[in-house]
Formats: sequence, C-alpha cells, structure tokens
Amino acid sequence: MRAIFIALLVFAVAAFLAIVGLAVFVFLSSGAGSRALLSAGIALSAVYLVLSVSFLILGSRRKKS
Amino acid sequence: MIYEQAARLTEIVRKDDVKAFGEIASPDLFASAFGRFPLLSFLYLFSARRIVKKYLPELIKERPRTRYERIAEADALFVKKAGKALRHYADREVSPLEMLAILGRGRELKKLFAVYPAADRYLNAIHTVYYTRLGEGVVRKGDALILPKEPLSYLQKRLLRIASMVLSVLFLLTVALSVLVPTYFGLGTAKSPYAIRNGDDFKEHIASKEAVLSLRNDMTLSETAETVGAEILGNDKIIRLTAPFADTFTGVLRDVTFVLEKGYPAAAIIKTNRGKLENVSVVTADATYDKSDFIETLTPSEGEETEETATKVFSLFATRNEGIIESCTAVVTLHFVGKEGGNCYFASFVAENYGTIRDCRAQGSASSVAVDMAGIVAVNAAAGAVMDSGADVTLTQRTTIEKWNPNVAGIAAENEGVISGCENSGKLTSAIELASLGENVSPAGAYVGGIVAVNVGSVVGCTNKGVLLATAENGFAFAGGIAARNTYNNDGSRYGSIGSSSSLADITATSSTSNVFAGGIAARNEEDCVIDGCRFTAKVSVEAPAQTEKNMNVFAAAGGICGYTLGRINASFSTGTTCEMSANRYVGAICGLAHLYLSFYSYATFLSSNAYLAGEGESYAIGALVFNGSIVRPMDLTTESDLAFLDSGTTRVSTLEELKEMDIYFE
Repeated sequence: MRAIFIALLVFAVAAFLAIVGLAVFVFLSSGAGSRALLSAGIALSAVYLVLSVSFLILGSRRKKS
Repeated sequence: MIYEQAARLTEIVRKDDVKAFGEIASPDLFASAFGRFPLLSFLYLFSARRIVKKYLPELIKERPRTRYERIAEADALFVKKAGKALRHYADREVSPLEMLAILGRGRELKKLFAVYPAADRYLNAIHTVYYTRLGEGVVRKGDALILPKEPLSYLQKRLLRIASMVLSVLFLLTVALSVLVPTYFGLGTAKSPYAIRNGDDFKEHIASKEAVLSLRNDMTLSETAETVGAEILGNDKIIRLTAPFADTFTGVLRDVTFVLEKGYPAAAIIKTNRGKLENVSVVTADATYDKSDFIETLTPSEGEETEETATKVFSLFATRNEGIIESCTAVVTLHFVGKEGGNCYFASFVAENYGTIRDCRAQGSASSVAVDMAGIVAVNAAAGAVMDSGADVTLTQRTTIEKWNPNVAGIAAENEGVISGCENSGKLTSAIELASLGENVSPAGAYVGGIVAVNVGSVVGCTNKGVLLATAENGFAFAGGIAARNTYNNDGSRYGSIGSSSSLADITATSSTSNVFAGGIAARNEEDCVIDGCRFTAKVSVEAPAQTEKNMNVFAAAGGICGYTLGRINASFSTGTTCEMSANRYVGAICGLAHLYLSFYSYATFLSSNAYLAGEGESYAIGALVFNGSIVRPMDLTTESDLAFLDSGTTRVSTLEELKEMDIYFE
C-alpha cells in the first residue's frame, strides 16, 4: 500500500511537471500545442481530483465502533 | 551471559543490525525469552525485519525456552503498542504470532502462520487479539488465515489528508494552466481561434490548413510566407506590408486591411490565390514604380514566351486568382514610369483571373507610361468571372513608345470569361504621344473601354459612368463605352458578346493621323460578335484625322452603339448625341460604319430591333456602309429607298416617350 501511495504521489508530481513543461512550450511557440495542453490538463485534473477525493475519504474514515 | 548482553541486544535489534546480530547469534540466544517475549516476538516488537528475514528458520524452531528477566524498554514499547489487547497479556507469554496480531501486521502474520510449528494452537489467542482490537475475529479457511482489515493509523490518515491537499493544489494549478494558457493563445478552432498579437505569432500558425487565427493587434509583416492555409479572422485590424504576404494562399482571409508601405515591391500581396479573400482591403502608399520593378509575370503561352519575354504584371490582391475574392476593396494611388518595351499590366485586384471576383470595389487613381491598366483585373481568363464589382479609379496611360498599344479599361484589360453586373465610374484615358513614326513602322492603337478594352468573352449587365478618352498622335484611337473592341480570339473559339449593358458617360476618340473609332458600347464590333440589349445615353465624339496626300483614306467612325460593326447589334438603343458628319467622319445614331454583307438573296446588315432618338439634324442609324471594299456615305445615296437602307433593322423615334413604349427600352 505504501509503495502504491508513493508511486501515485511521484506520478502526480511528475505529471504536473510535464504539464508545466508543456505550458512553457505553448507559451514559447505562441500557442502551438495548446490543444494538447488543454486535453492533457483536463485528463490530469480529473486524475488529481479523483486521487485527492479518494485520499481525503480514506484519511477521514473513522473506525467502526 | 545472554542477559548480560541484553542491553547490547536491544541496541542491535533496535538498529536491525544483521551483522552484529550474527556475531552474537547462538542456539542459546534463539532459545531465549526476555520476560514474556520470546526472541522472535522481541524482534517483531522492535520491527527488526532484516534480522527476522535472515534468521527466521532458526527463530521458529521449537526449543526449550531459557527465560530471562524482562527488558524494561521492551515492556514499555509493548504497553504502548498493545492497546486494548494488553489486558490479555498481564503475565502471559506473547508468542510471535500473537505479537504480529497485536501489532496489526496481518501480512507477516499470515506468512508466519503458514510456517510456524503447530500454529493452530495460537488461533484462539490470535482471534481474541483481533476481536479485542478491531471487534472482528479471524477465520480459518483451509490453510489460509482470513484477517479483518486493519484500520489506518493516525499518521497514515494524516499523511493521506496532506496528500489530498497537495493533490487538490495540483488539481487547481493544472486546471488553471490548462485553461488559462489555451484561453490566452487560443486553440486554433473556430470557437477558440489562435490569438495573433504579432508577426511571430503569425509565422507560427499561418501554414496550418486547419487552424483558425484571430488578429488581436495591428502589425507589420516583412517576410513572405510560402504557403498560407489557415483561416484568418482579421477583426478589422491593419497589417502593414513591406513584402508580399504569401506565395500561395489556400485558406480564408476575412476583415483585414493591408497597407503597402513605401518601398513595397511591385508584386501582389498573394502570388497565387486558391482560397477565399473576404472583406479584405489593400491600400497603397502614394508610390511610383518603374516598369523594371515589376517582378511577376502572366503565365506564358505554350511554347511562345520565355520568362524574359513574358508579360510583366502588378496587381494588388493576387497575381493569379484561382479562388474567390469577395467584398474586397482596393485603394490605389500609384504611378508607373519607364520607357522599356515589353508587355506590362497593372490591375487593382488581380493580374490573371481563373476564379471568381465578386462584389469588389476599387477606388483612387493610377497613371502610367506604357503600362496597360484595368480597374479590377488585367486578364480575365475563360474560367474567370468578375461579378457585381465596381471601379472608381482614374486611370491614365500615355506612351511615347512606337508599336505600343496602350490599353485602359474600367474592369478588365482583356476578357475571355464572364463579366457581369460591374460598373465603372472612373475617368479613363489612353494616349499615344508620338511626334513621328519611324520608317515602315505601323501605327499602334490607343484603346479605352469603360468595362473592358478587348472582349472575346461575355459582358452582361454592366454600366459605364466614367468619361472615356482615347487620343493618338501617330496612331489609331479606339474608345467604347463598354468595350474598345468586341472581337474573337486567335483560334476563333471565342466570340465577344455584350448584353444588357449601359453606357452613360461621354466618349471621345481623336487621332492626328490614323483611323478613329468610337461607340457608345463598342468602338469596333467584329464579325460574328454580338451587342444585344444595350443602351447609350451620353455623347460620343470623334475627331477626324486630317487627310493628306499620303493617306487619303483615313477616317473617323462614331456611333451611339458602335463605331464600326462587322457583327450583330440587336435590341439596343441610343438616346445620346453624336458629333456631326463630315467628309471622312462617319457618324450614325447606332453605328458610324457598318459592313454590308452580300447574302444569297439580298444585301443585309446584321442590325435588328434597334432604336434611336433622332436629333434635330439629318441622322441615320448607320453613318456609312462598307460595300465591295468602298465606303458609301449618305451623300453618295440618291434614292429614298437607298437612304432608308441606312435605317435598316432600326426604329427612329422622335421623342423619348415613344422609345419608352418599345420593348427594348430600359433604364
């Protein structure tokens, strides 16, 4: 579980850095690749949202009494 | 001895130091228990995973225990970790399996349970521990042990919440990046076009066939793009050009104004247009070009012309148009100079048109020395169409070059295709200014046509409102309200046709030495060509050249519809006026000079259903006839029937009201 958790976090950070890199490329090329940025950004945002909510739910779950 | 080493052992176990443990490992050590913890339980308690991994077979062997005093540190740790399960171990040995159950290390417990000698004896204790800790017992299923799920620790939960927060921040940043950046630059789609703020942005996207671009700023472009395939929304911005815009254009260009800066080369903004230009304006600086500055040429005829001898051209929108130019405007202030020979054209829009030019306007003025000029297109090819367009450009061409025929036209210099619904309002002047001609040099002709100079195509529903003037010193002069010459092409495959057109402005043609032709619709209407349903309402004048001993046959011919016709004139009328007849000035209300054909049955001209409003003096539809190689004038005719022949195919009316009642009349 710990390995999966760490892998997910590493993936999340690496993917974010990739998106930042793509945004810089789009900026330098006056908008070329902005469609790819939008698509990748939306997909990654969805992944982040799912992971974030999942982690929040897991982290907030109380022990059954 | 072992107990004496307990402090060191605890240190080794805490550090999970396999090497140090190996140094003290012995059967005695493996058989030892410290207080209630057998060695393996002791190792599990301190999470000495590497030691356990290496020595597990020795550690699980059943041996008689050598029990030592408890180690306080181990007890304290156990108390801390055991939680509710502590109650079951007040003074009881904690077996390794139970220790794992107490510590919640289920996976290790399952593994150990599978290899531990007589593990079943601990099943109840394990069950009790789990039930105490989690309220749920264990189940034995075959050899497998089914354990209840371990709840997350406080630390794990906190870590998860932190991770969740980090991911939320990443989520927000990603959304912001992926939405704001494309919103700023655009996606290149119709709904979200690429935002073009400068020339660099333009260069980046201009070649893409699918991209949609939207101009956000005025800008200056100084490089020519090879191919432009994008759809460009100009948003009424201004692009200043110091070089042509594109070699080949296949996209769509809308709502933009191009300003040709001083120093802009004498070439169209687009060399070949296969796309669509809509609501585009081109505005020139007040500039002067030499003919030698022209860098583009018309497509050479097959095998006839080389690049060196090909006709040079300068037009503003496209050198060659195979696409659509619609609702566009050209604003022209240009002057052309140069004494070199060689064919040369200027046109406000297109040099060679194989596509469609629709609803376009040209305005301004242009003057030239020996550069043929047209308000819209230089050569309208057979596949070309110019529709519903207008020119209000004052065009003036003068030449002092021998053999140069200056052509000036309101819409097209040469037409093989279709020109319909077009209008010229600009004053057009074509002049030959030669003090003398060289020996054996044939005189050239000055051509001016309100719509087209030389027509071998179709002109329909056009109007000329611009004053026309053709003058020639040592040359012929041709001036026609719609066409200077309505004629046929070299291989006889196309014949000129002018229909439903109006000529509403004065027309004048003069020559000091050679024949002069002027007509309300056409100066000359050649054999098998047609003028149909046209009207003329202004004044047509010709200045007859002086007859000299050398040249007794020079004449001037002027007509309300045509100066000289060999072709047909149908259903046309003139309410205009003409200059007076004289010995070598043939003036007719319809045509100045008509060719008389000898048919099998009778003599006939090809005039039918025409009409004219008779003036005060003597007038006829035909000013003179060409018959058997001679010219027959009214004064040469003596009988009433012969004179009546001059009105053949034509109705003479005295009042405008009479004319208005005729079917051919229109306004």
